[in-house]
Amino acid sequence: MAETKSQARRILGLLRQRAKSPRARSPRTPEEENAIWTAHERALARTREAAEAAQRIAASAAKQRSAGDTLADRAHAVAARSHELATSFTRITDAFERLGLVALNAGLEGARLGEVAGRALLLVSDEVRAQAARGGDNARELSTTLTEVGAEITKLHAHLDQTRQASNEASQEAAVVAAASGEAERALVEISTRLRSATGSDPETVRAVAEASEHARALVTALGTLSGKVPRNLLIGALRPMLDPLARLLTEEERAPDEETDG
Amino acid sequence: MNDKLGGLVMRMQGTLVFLPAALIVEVGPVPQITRVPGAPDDLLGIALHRDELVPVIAIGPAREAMVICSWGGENVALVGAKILAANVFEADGPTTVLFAGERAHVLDLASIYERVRVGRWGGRWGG
Repeated sequence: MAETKSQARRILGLLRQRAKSPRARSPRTPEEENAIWTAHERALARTREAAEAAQRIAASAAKQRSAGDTLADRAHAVAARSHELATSFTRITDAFERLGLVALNAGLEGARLGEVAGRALLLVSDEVRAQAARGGDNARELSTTLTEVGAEITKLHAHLDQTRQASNEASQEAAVVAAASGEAERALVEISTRLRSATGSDPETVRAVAEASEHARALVTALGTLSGKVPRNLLIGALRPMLDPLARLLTEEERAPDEETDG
Repeated sequence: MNDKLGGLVMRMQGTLVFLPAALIVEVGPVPQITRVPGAPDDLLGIALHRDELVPVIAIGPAREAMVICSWGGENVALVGAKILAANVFEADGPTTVLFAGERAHVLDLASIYERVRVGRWGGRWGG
């Protein structure tokens, strides 16, 4: 028990001495340093994500542009075909009109022959004229519809051009974002180098120190809670297994500032 | 007088007219018409029909068909009327036929021909 008390006194002495050292008077707590490194790591990760997202957007815009080009080619082909069909329908309309005139001449021949002799010719003439007129009307209607379809395709072509233009712009903007993200990433890496140099620490060490600090604070809080409630001998006995390693660690730490100063 | 007349019924500027089959040579599409400088307004020009030049007279604004008529021993083309039917129609008097309950007067081809003939050219054409 006396040995344990002596160790505890020695530890207290070391801690007091350590508290007076320049390192202990650092303006930042381990939690603050840890917060800085955590924020830095988060910024770096988000910047990399932004760069990757920008690359994906650029790739997607390129695909969209390619699809737009294909669609524009198809629209152009359909518009040309529609124009050809409209011309064909004009020829069909002309053919129906000619057929109507032929039927009219047949009707005239029937009329010359007289009502009785020319009846069959007149009937056929009437029927052919009616069918030719109907066919001509339908062909004209189809031709009009095709012309409208052609006009719609021309509009579609114009919209596709706008879409391709927008894709190009998106692609260019994505490239700008990717470049800016790369620049930001390089700046963050430089910041981390300068932070290491300025603080003499790195994220892993700072995190471990912060955790140790938290545990120490928890131990002090727990001891404060037990103070006066648990017999002192019992408390020292419970702390005994960790006092030896702690004393060793602090002794090593005690030497470290000297080494740093010497160095 | 026959009670039936064969020919064409046409609508000419809102009026139904009848052209007897005996005067008609043929009905065909409107070909290219060449204007003749100084010709009367009703004479649209001349056109080629079966290797023969024929004068083309306008009797209305329509241009869907050309009716070649034989008049005074020569062929004359008429354009401008809308052809409604080629058939044998019931006569309703010496110069009228009935078509779909409407009266169609026989087209006065002589007057049309004469009007063009004595137009600006005076007696220089067909006289």
